[in-house]
Amino acid sequence: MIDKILVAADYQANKLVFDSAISLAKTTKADLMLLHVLGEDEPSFPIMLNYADHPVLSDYDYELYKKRYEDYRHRGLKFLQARAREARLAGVNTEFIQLTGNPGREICQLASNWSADLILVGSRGLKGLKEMFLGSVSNYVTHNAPCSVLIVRNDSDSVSYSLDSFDQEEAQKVPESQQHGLMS
Amino acid sequence: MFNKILVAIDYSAGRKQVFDQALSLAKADQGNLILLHVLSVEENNPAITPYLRQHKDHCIHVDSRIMRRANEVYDQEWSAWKQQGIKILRHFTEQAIAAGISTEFSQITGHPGSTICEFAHSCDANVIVIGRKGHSGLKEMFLGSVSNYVIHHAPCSILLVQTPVLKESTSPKSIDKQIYA
Repeated sequence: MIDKILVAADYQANKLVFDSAISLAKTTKADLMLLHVLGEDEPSFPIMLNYADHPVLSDYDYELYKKRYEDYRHRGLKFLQARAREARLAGVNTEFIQLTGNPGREICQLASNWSADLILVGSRGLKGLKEMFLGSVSNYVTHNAPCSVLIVRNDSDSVSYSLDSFDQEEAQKVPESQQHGLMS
Repeated sequence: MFNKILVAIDYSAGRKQVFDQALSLAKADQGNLILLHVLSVEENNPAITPYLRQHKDHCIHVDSRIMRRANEVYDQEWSAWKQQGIKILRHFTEQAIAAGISTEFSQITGHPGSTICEFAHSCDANVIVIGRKGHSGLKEMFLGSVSNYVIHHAPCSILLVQTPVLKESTSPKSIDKQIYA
């Protein structure tokens, strides 16, 4: 019945999202698709520094921004690769994809293009005003999805892949000198 | 992971699909199912007219004998309505038990959204499975979306099942057709 599961993954996504995706895919013998949307409202999205109006400086800023962006994209890919590897180890047929744009819209579009049967999304758990202003991806998805949606809610005690911990993990692998190179 | 699965069942045509997805979720995690049907006047009940939904003491301008008779009819209709729900629940429960999943069911009277959330809270459900009819825009605003209420108030994860009625254009013509069909 469920043949294709789309997992909307972001760094904040709870480990529970992936765990339940894998166990669901295992028992239903479904294919997994991991999707990460590079969106401006993700906290780690690089910000263009345009306070300086000098052409030379703004050129420099742009270069810096581009570098940061590449870095950010690369980290996203690494993250997806790691999760996909986990899923493949569990014997699940897994693909991943990285898209740019509005997360909610991209998720729904991919779901209908790929003809997914189920979308798994995490919930940021924003309520009230915060939800109104920041926009709830899961809310958009539930109202516009072409298929069933499983919203996995964060429990406070469960482990999540926060960006910081992922950064630290990565930082340990990257030599010091290279790290400084990226920063400057 | 999802050990306790609360399934919100109603009389709509999509209930089978909701149940099927809940069942496959339960099989995935060896969870147990709790089937819940919320009895409410909001659910489309052709037998109960709005007039008779009023509290029994409200209609003083009608002959008391007529009123008593009306209330008797109302009670009969209501219990038949209730029985029908229980029959559905029992049918699904048997099906789930046959599939080797421990299942219980209950029927509660109340406002659907808040009752589902409260029940989920009180029985520590890990996930709520609920159908979604795919009303959007104005129609959602007026008809009130139970699933939307549950999404925003539930204490746990939610599996929204897209039930067949999906293709719904927002042109007023098609909405009229669906309402009066």
